[in-house]
Amino acid sequence: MTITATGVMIPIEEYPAISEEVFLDRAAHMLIENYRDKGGTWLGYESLLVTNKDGEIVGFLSLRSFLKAIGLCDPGNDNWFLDLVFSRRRISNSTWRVKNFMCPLDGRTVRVNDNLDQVIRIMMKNQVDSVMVVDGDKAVGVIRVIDLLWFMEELL
Amino acid sequence: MIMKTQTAGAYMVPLGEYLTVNENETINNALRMIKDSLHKKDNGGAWLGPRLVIVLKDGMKPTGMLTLKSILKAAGLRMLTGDVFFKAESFSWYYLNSMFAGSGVPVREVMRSLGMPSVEYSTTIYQAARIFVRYGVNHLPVTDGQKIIGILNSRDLFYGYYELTRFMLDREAILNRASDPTKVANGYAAL
Repeated sequence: MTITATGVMIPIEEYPAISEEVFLDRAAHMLIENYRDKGGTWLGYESLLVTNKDGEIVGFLSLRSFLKAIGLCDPGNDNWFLDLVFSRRRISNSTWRVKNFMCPLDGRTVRVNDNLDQVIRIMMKNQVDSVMVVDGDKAVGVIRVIDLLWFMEELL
Repeated sequence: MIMKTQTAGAYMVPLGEYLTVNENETINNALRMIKDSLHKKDNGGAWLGPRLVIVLKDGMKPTGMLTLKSILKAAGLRMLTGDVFFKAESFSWYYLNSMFAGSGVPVREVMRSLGMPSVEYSTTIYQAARIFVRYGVNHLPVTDGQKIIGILNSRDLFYGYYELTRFMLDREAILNRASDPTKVANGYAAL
């Protein structure tokens, strides 16, 4: 029997989500809470879904999004002389919001009836660790690379 | 002055803590080892262990790492063998087909080399974060001179940074630091 995306995905209502207007420090705290809960139980979520003001899912906030932010916090980048000479613009506080670091959904969606070959093809083509499962226009779940692990032997 | 906690090496997992596989081993056997590795830290419970195995040449010299992405790559190659257009137009089809039909794909065909990109033990966490983003990888070999001594994964770097700072981005101080805010606004870190 062919396994479809729905047979592997995590339902959307179980996946943690955050607003695109939230600051990254709060988002980081939420990601930590969704990796392990307070009792130490492993939950394993390594990304958050990002929603807009209408509650629609617009992207993923992944570990790579946070690494982008860490890369910008380098004290070694602080050079007032270069700022002066090249008139470099300063970052405003509002830049450190989720919406400026999230990865959009473009090319990261599969349909509910797609088989695992198609899921793998999308992941490889876009070099991503998770994809969104959609039913028409509606997001219904998320598939991560690790969710495919238990089906890999059949695919090799 | 850079504190030890600000170096990438402080968050790496030493090479000796990973399970190993020979580069001539089949991908199916390596997949079983990755599953074992995932359960390594929690007595068969949660998937807290390393998500990769180190590949050895002749059972001695570390030459690569096999990650979940490598396994996906192997599955992608298997799909190509069933592609009629690929079969019609590419000589590689005969090579790939004989691998899958024979004893299986050897690990060395899909592993990631331990060469570039990599980071020095003393690389700062900020530089390491930029390298992760630039190359789009989740694991980086850590070197001490010419020798590979461990693997840094993006998860450990993130959690390490969180422990260090609670991700309280010093917003006032940071105002001076980024080089190109337009890139940030578009979702790309200035590298």
